[in-house]
Amino acid sequence: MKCLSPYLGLALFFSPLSTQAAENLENGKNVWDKQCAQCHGPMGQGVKEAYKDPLTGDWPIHKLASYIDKNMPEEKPGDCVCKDAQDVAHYMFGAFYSPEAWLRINPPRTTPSHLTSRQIEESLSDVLANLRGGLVQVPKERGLQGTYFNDRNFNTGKITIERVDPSIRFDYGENAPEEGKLGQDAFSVRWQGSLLAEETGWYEISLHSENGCRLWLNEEDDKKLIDGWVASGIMAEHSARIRLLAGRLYPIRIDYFNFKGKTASIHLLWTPPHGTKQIIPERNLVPNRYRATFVPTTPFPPDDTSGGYPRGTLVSRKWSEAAAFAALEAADYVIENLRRFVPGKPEDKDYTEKARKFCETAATLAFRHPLAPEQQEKYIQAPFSSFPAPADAVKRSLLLTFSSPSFLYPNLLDTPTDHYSVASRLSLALNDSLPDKGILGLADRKLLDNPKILQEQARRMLGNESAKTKLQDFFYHWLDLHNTVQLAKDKETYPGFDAAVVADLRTSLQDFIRHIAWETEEADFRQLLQADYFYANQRLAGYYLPGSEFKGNPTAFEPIPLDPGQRAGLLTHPYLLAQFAYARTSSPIHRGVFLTRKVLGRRLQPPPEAVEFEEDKFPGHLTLREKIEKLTSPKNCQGCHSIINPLGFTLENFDAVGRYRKTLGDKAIDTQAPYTTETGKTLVISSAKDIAGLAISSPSAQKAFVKQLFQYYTKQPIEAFGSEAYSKLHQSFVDNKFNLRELIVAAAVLYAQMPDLPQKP
Amino acid sequence: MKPTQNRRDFLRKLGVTPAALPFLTGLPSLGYGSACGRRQRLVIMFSPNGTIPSKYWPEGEGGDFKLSEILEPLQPWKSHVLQLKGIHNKIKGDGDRHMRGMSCLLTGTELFPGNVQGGSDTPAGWAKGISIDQEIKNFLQNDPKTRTRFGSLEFGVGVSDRADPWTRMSYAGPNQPVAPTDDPYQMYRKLYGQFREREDILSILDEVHQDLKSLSGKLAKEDRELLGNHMQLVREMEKEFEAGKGQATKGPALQEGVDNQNDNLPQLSRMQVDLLVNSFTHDFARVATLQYTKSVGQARMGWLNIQESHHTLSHKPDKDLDAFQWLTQINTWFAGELAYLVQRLAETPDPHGEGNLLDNTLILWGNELGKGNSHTLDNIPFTLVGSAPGIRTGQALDLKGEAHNRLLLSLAHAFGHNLQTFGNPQLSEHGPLDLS
Repeated sequence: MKCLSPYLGLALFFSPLSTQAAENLENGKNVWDKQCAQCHGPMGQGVKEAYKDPLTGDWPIHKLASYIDKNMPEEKPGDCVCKDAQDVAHYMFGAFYSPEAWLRINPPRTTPSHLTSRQIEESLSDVLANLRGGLVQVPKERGLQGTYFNDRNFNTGKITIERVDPSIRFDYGENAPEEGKLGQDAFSVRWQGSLLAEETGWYEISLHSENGCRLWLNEEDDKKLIDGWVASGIMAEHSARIRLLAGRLYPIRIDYFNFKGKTASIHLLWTPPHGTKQIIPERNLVPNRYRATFVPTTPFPPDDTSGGYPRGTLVSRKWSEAAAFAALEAADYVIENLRRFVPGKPEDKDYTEKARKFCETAATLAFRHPLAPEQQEKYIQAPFSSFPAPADAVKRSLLLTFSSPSFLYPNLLDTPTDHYSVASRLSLALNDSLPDKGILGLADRKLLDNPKILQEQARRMLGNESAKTKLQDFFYHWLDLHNTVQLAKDKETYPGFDAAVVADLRTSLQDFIRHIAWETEEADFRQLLQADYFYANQRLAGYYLPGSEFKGNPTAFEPIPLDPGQRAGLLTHPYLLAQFAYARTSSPIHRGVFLTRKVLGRRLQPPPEAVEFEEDKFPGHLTLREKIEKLTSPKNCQGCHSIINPLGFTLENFDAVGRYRKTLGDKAIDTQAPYTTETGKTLVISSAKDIAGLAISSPSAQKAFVKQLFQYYTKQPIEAFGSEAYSKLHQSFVDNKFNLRELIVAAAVLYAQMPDLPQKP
Repeated sequence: MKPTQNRRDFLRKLGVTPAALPFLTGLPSLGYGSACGRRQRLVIMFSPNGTIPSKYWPEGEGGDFKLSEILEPLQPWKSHVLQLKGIHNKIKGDGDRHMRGMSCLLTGTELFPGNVQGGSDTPAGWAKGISIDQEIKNFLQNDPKTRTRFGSLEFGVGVSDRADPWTRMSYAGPNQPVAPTDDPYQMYRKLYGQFREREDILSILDEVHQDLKSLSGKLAKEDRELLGNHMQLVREMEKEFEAGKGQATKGPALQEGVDNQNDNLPQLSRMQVDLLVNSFTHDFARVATLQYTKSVGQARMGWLNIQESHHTLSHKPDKDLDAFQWLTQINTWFAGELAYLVQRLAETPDPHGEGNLLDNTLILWGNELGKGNSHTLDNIPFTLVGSAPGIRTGQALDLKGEAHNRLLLSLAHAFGHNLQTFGNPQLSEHGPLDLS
């Protein structure tokens, strides 16, 4: 049945209700109470014997209305049509159906959840690292320690040069590495140190050489990742894949030699996740050698992000299998390296006892809590009494431990909140991992009910590399940059904007955030939105500032000013601008939606109907802005687009790859537009700087940022902690002059002190 | 690490009875070899550093021959043995004799010039061509009727973790050495990995379920849903893994925790042979290599009360009677491992067709040198055991100096792959040897 809509769509939510609309809503409520409530409950909560599921979802109103029109009431479709159907849809939407309404009448509480995939990986890796002496801090020194031998056999008597090489990219041609010091036709070089990974994922490592070479990575035995020892003077490329976790150091060694080869060269390259094949840069090489790290390779399904942040609130078949296989991987790793974890020989008198103690420590770490007697029995005693051979008992014990709910569900402890639960939550919030020895010691001494000590610990734990990778991940999430694999532009319009530039942009953004958050005293969030420089290496500088001269190491990233006065930190970072754009043109709507939701924290309803922007359907003389204004001019679009468009237009000075421009075609770009704030004030805005100003000065925007950060860090809805706690957290952010590190500390401490889930009375 | 207990014990401790783990044979789920025709198989076994000719070569010729001391372990299978004297590795060019002995043994072709320097001669690189095992594998894999899951499997025993012309005899092509796997656990994972992992996980699922249940009981009602779902999924996994067990192909019971090191070579050898035989039973492959150490291998056979390492001993002059005796013992030990393989094949019924596995398997045992202290590539100690079309066992032949390329051609022809030449064409002249 076709009906004419008396509504102006979503305008309802952004303008005061007209009398007409109020009457319609009144009618909607009456219809609901009479015809629907019987089966769905007065507030859509469901009725046991009828329709038992709560009535909530994300359909837009028009879809709800048309569904009701056709199908409802179930026993007599046709009794609620046209205006009644539309009225009731509007009433339901606002009263309980929409996610916002649902949240309002069902305020969230902390929810049971398991570790997220990142938390499982980090925790498993850290348990094993702690069992071998703890984590290491990333040192400042960069490069690899090179030892040069004047023979082909790495003969220690023939060491000629020892030095740190920034990276391995050597083309000796027909010469020796150091003329006169080494013989051309017989020399060897050993490089040692560690590799620093900045992203989690699979890396492809490559050695290019026409001579002999071998490579060991994340390995303490003799297991080579690459063996290209035998060579016949023909350039060869040897590659292998390995998975690495971000923020960790992995021991690396390369042996290289030339014997009677006419020419000599060696290059060490990688293709990191989100990156392109390149020489492993100096920033990722460290001359000290560290222990190997356990890296699980079991793929996990993505975490539940339906709440707006990843959390462990879904169990699927794939997830439960992945959790079990990852546990097995960790147990197998220990068995393969048992002599490193449990020194001694199985036939030693005290070996079984040592192995038992080892398992006890492992379980204590994994459960983040001293073992209860029944846990002691189940996870330690039972395996050791069933299996006479220590290796079998260790494997069984670890497999049980790492698959246990006590490991996987950290906020469902068997005991009421105590000092260990506080330590556990603080570590999960800051490091996505287990408590380290430092904080466990304080839990032992029952000192973690002291907020001051908690804050000190939080600040200390922020120094861990995993805290840095977590903040990096938060920003990718906040900036909607999590799925950027496909970022590519039209080659004719944007020549030179290739995969290497895209990878560099990611590094550039990363370095910028890293600099503000960790390298400046103030860690000022406002700087992130206002800075007018960006980080560039030679390639990026060449692309974004053609003709400029790049000084310094061509592969290193340095802060350089970009279009003075035009840039506003993250908001105008080319990585972001390119992401929110089409292959040929910018996209003010995508940019506007991002700014509205994420940066200014305002709510938008899903569009009542999906409309595609087909640029070539508009008369050619119109500017992009005019076309969009025309497209979104219907009144039921304007409810949201009156906000989205002006925000998006302010960024029109940046093309689809984020370069600054003043004109488009032969027309000057007009970025000025009126914008109505959430308090109803109308301002004229015209640049990214204006938006940065709004985001910084608007309490609701600040609050939205605080909420997003809190939820990402703690995996719990902030509303569950009460509105007072939320306001206090926001206030402390403002009082601390928008210090990001202090905000993280405050969020983690708030979360750490939360009570456990209510126990059964 | 001390050998502990086998996998069956391990599983029994977990409450899974061995009866629930039938060693099912020949299921088509993973091996997908054909259902028609005879399944013909090839094993090439290698041991290093030459032999003691006077203790190796038989007395007599033709059908009337007497096995020598070194081959004594093969006595029960004498009618299945064909000893081949007078076959020389005539490949010249770059590389020392150990290198050429090894990397040309199955390729029959020269080495590339390269950067690996031996004790003498010029430095060299990898071999210039494919090896006969890989050639036959490709031939079988190209035909859907003889195609198997892996085609070929390369087993090693104490090979060492070096990749150079001394350690590789198998080549997929020029410059493409194929690494043998000398860790039986790694081989087990390759062959049966998914089953082992599933078994391990299955063994704890019931306890995970109990834990979830007890934790859930402590929670308020509205918080139990997540754990409830998890419990249900654990049960599902349990059911599926349990059901999968009946259909799954099982590997042999391996001893747990045998470290891959010199002193464990006897155990490692038996484990690899068991895996090899099992992989034939399941028709995972029709071609296998079994490489004991490497050319210039330095096994120290303490279990024979020999403290000196193998290659070092092989350089001792003939008049050093101790060395002479020890080398005889060492080579006899290798023959014993061959005998174990033969026995395992003979006692295993061929799941497809008639007879046992030995009736359908041909084994070639070779070496990179004829004699250790002379480094000769003449009279390579070649012995064939088992059966294949066109090869008559139960005899000893002296071919008086034929190029070993012709022997490689004979292997191909035995599999119906009628090559004209293999490796160096000049050395292939006159085609396959007549071994009937």
